[in-house]
Amino acid sequence: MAGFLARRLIGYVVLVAVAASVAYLLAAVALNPRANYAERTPRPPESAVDAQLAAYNLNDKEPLASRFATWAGGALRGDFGRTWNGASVNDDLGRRAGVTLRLVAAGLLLGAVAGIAVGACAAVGQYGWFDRLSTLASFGVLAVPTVVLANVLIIGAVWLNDLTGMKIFLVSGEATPGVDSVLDRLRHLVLPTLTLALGMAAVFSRYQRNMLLDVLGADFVRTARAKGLTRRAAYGRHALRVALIPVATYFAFTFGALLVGTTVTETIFGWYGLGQQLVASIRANDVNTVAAISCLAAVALLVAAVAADVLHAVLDPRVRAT
Amino acid sequence: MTVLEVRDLTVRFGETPAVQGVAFEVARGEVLGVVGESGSGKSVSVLAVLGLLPRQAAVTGSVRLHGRELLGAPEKELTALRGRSLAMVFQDPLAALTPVHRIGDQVAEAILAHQDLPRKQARARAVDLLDLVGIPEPGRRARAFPHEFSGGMRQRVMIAMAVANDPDVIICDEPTTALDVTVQAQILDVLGTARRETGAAVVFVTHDLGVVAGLADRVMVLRAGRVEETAPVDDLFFRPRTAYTRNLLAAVPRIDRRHRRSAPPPGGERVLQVEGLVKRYGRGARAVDRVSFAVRAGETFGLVGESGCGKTTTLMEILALAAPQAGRIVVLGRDTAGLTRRERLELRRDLQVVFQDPMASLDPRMTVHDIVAEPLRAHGLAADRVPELLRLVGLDPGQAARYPQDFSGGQRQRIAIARALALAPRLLVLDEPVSALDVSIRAEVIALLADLKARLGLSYLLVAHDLALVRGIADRVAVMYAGRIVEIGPVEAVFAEPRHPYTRALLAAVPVPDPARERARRRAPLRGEPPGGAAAYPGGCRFRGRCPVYAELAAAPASRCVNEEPELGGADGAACHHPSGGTR
Amino acid sequence: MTHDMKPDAVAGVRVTPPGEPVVRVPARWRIVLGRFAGSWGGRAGVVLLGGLFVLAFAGPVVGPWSYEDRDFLAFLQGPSWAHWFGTTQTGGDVFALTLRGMQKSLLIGLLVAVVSTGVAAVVGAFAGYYLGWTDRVLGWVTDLLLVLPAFLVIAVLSPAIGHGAWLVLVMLLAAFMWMVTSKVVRGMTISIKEREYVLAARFMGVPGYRIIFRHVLPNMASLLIVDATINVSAAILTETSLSYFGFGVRPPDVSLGGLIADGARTALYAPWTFWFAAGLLVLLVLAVNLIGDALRDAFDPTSDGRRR
Repeated sequence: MAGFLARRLIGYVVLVAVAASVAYLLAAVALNPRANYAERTPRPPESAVDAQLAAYNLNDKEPLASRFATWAGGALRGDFGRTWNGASVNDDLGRRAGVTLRLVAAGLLLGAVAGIAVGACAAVGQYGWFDRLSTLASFGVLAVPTVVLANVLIIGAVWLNDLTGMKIFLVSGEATPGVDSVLDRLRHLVLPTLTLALGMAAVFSRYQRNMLLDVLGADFVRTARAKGLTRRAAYGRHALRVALIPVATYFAFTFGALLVGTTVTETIFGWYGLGQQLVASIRANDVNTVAAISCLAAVALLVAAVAADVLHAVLDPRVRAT
Repeated sequence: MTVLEVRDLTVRFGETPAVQGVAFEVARGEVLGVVGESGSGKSVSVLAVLGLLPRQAAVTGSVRLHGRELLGAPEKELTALRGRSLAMVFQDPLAALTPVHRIGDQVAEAILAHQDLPRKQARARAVDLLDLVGIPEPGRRARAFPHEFSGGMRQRVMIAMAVANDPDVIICDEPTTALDVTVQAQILDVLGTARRETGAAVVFVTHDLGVVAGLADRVMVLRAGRVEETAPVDDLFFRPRTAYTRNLLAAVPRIDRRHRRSAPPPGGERVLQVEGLVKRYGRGARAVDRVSFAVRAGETFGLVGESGCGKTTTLMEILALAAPQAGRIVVLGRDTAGLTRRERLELRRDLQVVFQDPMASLDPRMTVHDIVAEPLRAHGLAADRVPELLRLVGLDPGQAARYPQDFSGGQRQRIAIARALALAPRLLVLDEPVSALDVSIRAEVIALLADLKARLGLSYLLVAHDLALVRGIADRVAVMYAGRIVEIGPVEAVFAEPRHPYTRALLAAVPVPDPARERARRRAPLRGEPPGGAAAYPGGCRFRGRCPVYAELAAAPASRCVNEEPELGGADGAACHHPSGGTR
Repeated sequence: MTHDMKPDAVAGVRVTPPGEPVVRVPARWRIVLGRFAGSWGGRAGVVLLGGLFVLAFAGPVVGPWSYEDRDFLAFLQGPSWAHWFGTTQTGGDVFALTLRGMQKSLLIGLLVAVVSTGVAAVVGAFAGYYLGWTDRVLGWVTDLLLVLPAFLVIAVLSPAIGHGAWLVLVMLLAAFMWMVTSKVVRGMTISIKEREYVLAARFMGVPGYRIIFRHVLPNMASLLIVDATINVSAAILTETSLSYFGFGVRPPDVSLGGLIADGARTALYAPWTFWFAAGLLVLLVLAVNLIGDALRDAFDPTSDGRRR
C-alpha cells in the first residue's frame, strides 16, 4: 500500500515537472516581453532593454536552454522569478491565490450543497414534478455560458440598483477601496459567488441524481427495506450514503480544477485572482508569471486528485482494503 | 396453523402478467419449496408478498398474514411487519449488504427497527446472532465490512438479520444459488437451525430440485407464472401429477446413478497433454500449481472443482497457446512453448471453445451469420459453410440474419457451438457449457454435444462445477482444489469410490432429487470455505484445514499432512496421505 | 441446380427466405431511435438544432448585409427593417455578425466533438486492450495533457495560429478534450476484454486491432455517441470563452464569444448588441444538451420506465 502510494506520488511529481517545463517553454517561445519596451516613449536604447530583460531572465537573445535552466533552478527552490517589469512573481501569486480561494470556496460549497440536495430530492421522486422542474432548470443553467451568465447578472443587478435607487449589489472588485466592512465585502461577493454556484449546482444536481438512481434499485436498499426500515431511512442511511462517495470525490477534484478555472468570473467581476492574472499575463507577455501559474495549476490539480483518492478511501471501506 | 395464506395472486408489469392466480399457504414450522425455471414467476410471487416489487408492478389478489390482509395495507403497517413478522433472505449475498456499513451495525439496525433497545444492547444482540449462524469470532467480525466476508459468510449474516426479530415467516429467494456446493450445504444447515430457533414457516424459492427434496415439506411447481402443481414432497417426487413435473424431474442429471456410455477407443493418441502447469498472478500464490493431465482422442475429460480452485485459469492457459510460466502444454503433439505466430494461428483451428453464458459469448451487435463466420474469416476461409454449420447444431439457416437477442438461451448456446465447430476442430473446450441454462434445456444441449462428438469424432475438455453433469458425460475426471489436482481417474471409479476426502465431501454435498435418500443422509457438511485464488498456502496438504480425516488423525500420521505435500501417485489416484480414511 | 445455394455464400442477409422481411437495420438501433423520437427533449432538441442550422447557413443568404460590411450611416441603431438585429458601434450588422458567429460555433463544435471522441476511443481502447507498455505510455500522455492548463496553452499559442486558420484552433481544442473520455473508454475496454465474445474471438485467432474495431468499440457506441454530443457543447463553450478574451477566432472573422464580449459593454443602453448573440448561443447549447440527454436515455436499457 505505502509502496503503491509512493510510486504514484513520484509519478505525480514527474508529471508536474514535465507539465510546468512544457508550459515555460511554450510561453518563452510564443510570448515576447521585448514588445512591452518597444511601446514605451521615449523608446529605451536596445542595450538598456537587453540588460533589463536579462536581469529578469527574459532576454530572447539568450539561448532558450540557458533561460530554461535558470528558470528551472529557481522554480526548484520555490522562486518563480520576476515579472516583466521586475516585481516578484511569488509575492504577486500569493496575494492572488488568496482572492481566488475565497471566491472558489464560497461558490463551490454553496453550489455543491444546493446541487446535492436538489439531485437527491429529484432522484427519490423520479419523474415527479420536482424531478422534471429541477431537470429543466439545470438544463437551462447548463446552457448558459459563464460569460453570458455573469453579464446577465451584472445587467440585472444594475437594473435593480437603478430601480431601487440604492447600491444593493456591487459588481466590481472584492471590496470598495477604503471601506472595510463585512457588509461591503458581502455585497461584492454575492454576484460572483452566484455565477459560480449556479453552474456548480446544476452539474452536481445532475450527477447526484444519476448516482442515486443507480443505487436506489440496488439489492442492499431492498435488504434495508426488508428489515423493516422506512423508505426514508433506507434511502437516507443506505442509498444516499453510498451514492455520496463518487460525488464527494468529484467535489475534491473540482476544487483543484477551479483554481485557475474561474478566469471568466474573476475577469468580469474584477476580482484580481489567479484566473484573471492568467489572462492579463498572457496579454502582457509575462513569461515567468504564465509559467508559474501553469505550475500552480498542475500542482493544484494533482493535490486535488490525491485529495479525491484519500476522500474516496475515507468514505469507502472497500477502497481502504486494497 | 396457517401463518401465511396467498390467494389468487396476480402480478402485472404493464400488460403482461408475470404471475397469474398463484395460491399457497404455509403453516408454522413448515417449509414450502417453490420451484420453477427462469421466467416462471417464482421470485416475483414472493417479493409481492413482502410488497417490495418495483412501483410499476400491479398486484391483485390476497396475501394474508395471520388472517390480516397485506395487499393494499398502508405502507406504515407493512414497514412494521417487514423484518419482524416477515423476514427475507435474498439470492445474491454479495450485493445484498450495504458496502459502507459494518456487519454488526447492519444486523443491529434490523433489531433497532422493531425493538426499543439501547444501541449498545442491540450491538451485543447482533454479536449473539452472528454466533448463532456460525460466524467464528463474532465479536471481532461484527466490526468488519461486507467486502471482508466471503459469499457464504455474507449469506449467514443475511440469515442472522432475518431471524433477528423472531419472525413468523422467512422467505428465501434462491439463497444458495450463488454459492459453492460445500458452502450451500452449510447454509442449508444454518437455515435449519434458524427455523428450529424461531419456529417460523419457511418459503424457499429455488430452481434446484435436489435442494427442495431434502428441505421442503411441501412443494409448489410454477411454470410461466401459473401453479403447475402443489404437493407434499414425496408425492411430487415419486408420484408427479403433471407431465411438466415429470419432464422436469427426468431432465435433472443424477449424481447417484451410473450412466452407460460407449467407452472411448482405448489408448487413443493424446490430443492434449498438460505437464506440471504453473500459473501465478503477480506475486500472489500460484492459482494453478503443478497440474498434469492428458486428454485422449475421442474422450471427454472433466475438470471439476469449486470456485477459485484454478480450473478456469488452467483452461485459459491452455487456450492461450503460449509458453506457460512453468511446465508444458502439448496440443496435438505440438509444444505450445515453441510455436511461431503462424503456427499458433494454425493450431487454433484444432482447438476451439464454448463458454458458459451464451448471452455473453455472442457479440450482441453481430448477426448470427457474422458470428459463425467470424472464425472462418479470421483464418481467411470463405463463409459459405455457415448454413451447413447452423443445420449441424439444429438451427434453421434461414434465421442467420437475426441477432442473438432474438434467440432463446438454448438456441444461443447452439450458435456458440456452431461457431466453435466452424474450423472443424479436433478438441473442443467446454467451459461450464450448460450451467447458465434451465434444466429442461440443459438436457437438449447435452444430447447435442454427445451427438456431435460421435459424428465428428471430437474430444472434449469439460470444465464444470456440476458434478452430476460430469458424471453424466465425462469419461475421465480430475478434481481440483486450491490450484492442485487432488484426484484423477475414470469417472465411474472416482464417483463410485472416491479416495480423496475432498472428493468424498464434494460428492456428499450435492443434493439429490430424491426425498427419501436426502432424509436418510447423514449430514456432516465440510467446515470452512474453499480458499480464494489469492490465498497463500503453507507447506503440507492444502486441504487439511477442512479435512475430516485429518481432524481424526493421531499425532504421528497427522504430522505427515503438515510437513509433506501429498502428490498424485501415478496417472490415476488421489493426492492424499491417508486415502483409506486414516483409521485403518 | 446450384443457383439456389449460391446466395448463401454472399452475406447473412441473403439467406433469409423470400417473404420474410429482410432485417436491414439492427433491431437495437430501431429501439434506440424509437425511444429517442419518443422523448420530448430529444424531439425539441432536434427541431431546435435543425432550426439553428438553417438559420446560420441560410440566414446570411437572405439577409441584406454581410458580416464584413459596415453601415456608416447607422452606428449603434436598434432593430429596424434595414438592420433586423440592429447595428454595432462600428456600424456592423448584428444579424449578419451573429449568424456568422453561429456558423463558426456550429462547425467548431461538431468538428471538435468528432475528432476528440475519435481520439478518446482509439487511445482508450488500445491502452485498455493491450495494457502493459502501451497502456503506460498512452496513460502518461493522457495525464500530461490533463495536467497542462488547456486554456493557457491555447491562449499562448493563439497569436501563432494566425488569421483564418480556425482548423488549427479546432485541433487544439480537440487535443485538450479527449482525456477524460479516454480514461472511461480504457476502463470499459478492460471489462469488455474479459467478456466471453472477446475471449472467443481471441481464441479463434482474430488479431487484437481487429477485435478492438469489431467488438470493443461497437459495444461502447452508446457511450461514444453521448460523449460526442456533450463534447459539442463543451467545445462551443470553450471556444466562446477563449474568443471572449480575444484568444479564439480572430477578426475580421467573428464568433459568438467575441460578439458577446463586445456586446456586454454596450448591453445596458443597446441591448440588441448583447441579447441576440447570447440568446442564440444559449439556445444552441440547450439544443445539443437536450439531444445528448435524450440519446443517453434511449441507449440505457434500464431507463425503460420513462413513463412510470
